[in-house]
Amino acid sequence: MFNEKEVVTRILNGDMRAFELLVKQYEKLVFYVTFRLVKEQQSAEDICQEVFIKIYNSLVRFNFQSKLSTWIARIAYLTAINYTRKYYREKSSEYPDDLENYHFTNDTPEHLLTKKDTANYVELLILQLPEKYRTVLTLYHLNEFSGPEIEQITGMPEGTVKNYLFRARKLLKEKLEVYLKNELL
Amino acid sequence: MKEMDDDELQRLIENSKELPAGRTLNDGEKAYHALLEVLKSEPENGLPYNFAAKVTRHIQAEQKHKSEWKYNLATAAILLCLVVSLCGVMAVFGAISLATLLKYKWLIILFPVIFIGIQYFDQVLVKTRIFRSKF
Repeated sequence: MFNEKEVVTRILNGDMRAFELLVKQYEKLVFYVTFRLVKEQQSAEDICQEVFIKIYNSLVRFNFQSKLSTWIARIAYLTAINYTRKYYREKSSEYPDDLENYHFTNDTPEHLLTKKDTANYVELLILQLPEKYRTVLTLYHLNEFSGPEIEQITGMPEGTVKNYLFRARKLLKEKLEVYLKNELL
Repeated sequence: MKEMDDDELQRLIENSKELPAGRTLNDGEKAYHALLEVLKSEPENGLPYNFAAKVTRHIQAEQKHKSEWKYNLATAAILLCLVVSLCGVMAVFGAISLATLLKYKWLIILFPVIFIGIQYFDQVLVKTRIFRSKF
């Protein structure tokens, strides 16, 4: 059982094995958040390393007012966002207000044929969604954070989080419905 | 029978509630079920198995680097103090004149600067390269 208070205390006392334990405990959480944002394996790995170095250096300021996982996810989210702003310079047009009219770039019939299964297809669609939708989907479904926790992590109001979640799932469902129909034919 | 809207469906499926009696899943509902299953499953990509050890080693190396740097600065400061004190003592006891000391002041300052310079290049160029080749 992972006791976060005990582990944090041990790290602050200079126990590097405890830090390794913390990394092992939260590496998936950090990776999922960063990978869904930067969409590149190597960049995601580099950001994960940067995130854990930041965590190590700032752990002394963590005061247990929130869950450790929420605090770590916030550091991961902000680091990945800064990276995308710096290197990708995604244009504001990437965030359409009207997601119903959002078009996936490589949803050609040839592409549909090459998709191995539903999971791969959905993953491909998620990676094409706007950044905020990807983040909310990942934090909610993969990392199992609640609405208020996602608000703490991303700074988006809970209502906006729910709205993004609903719209992203609706859009993905519509695409998946067509895909499943085609697959059965 | 009235079709459920997306909002209602998402809530129903997410909370794993039973469908109302006599209702069977339509295509949209099936797609929602499949989607929520996929959203919960972990992606294939992941970090290397030794990631935690790698990060820990990196932090330890950084800590060592910082402490070495502090040690070098302290050594340089002590060296400078010693040289200045020695020159002061020599000037007081008349072994060397103040004018001569002032003439060679840059040489005296140069010793600790060269020491710090050597340590800096050793850490930045040599040790960093060794660290990178290891990890």
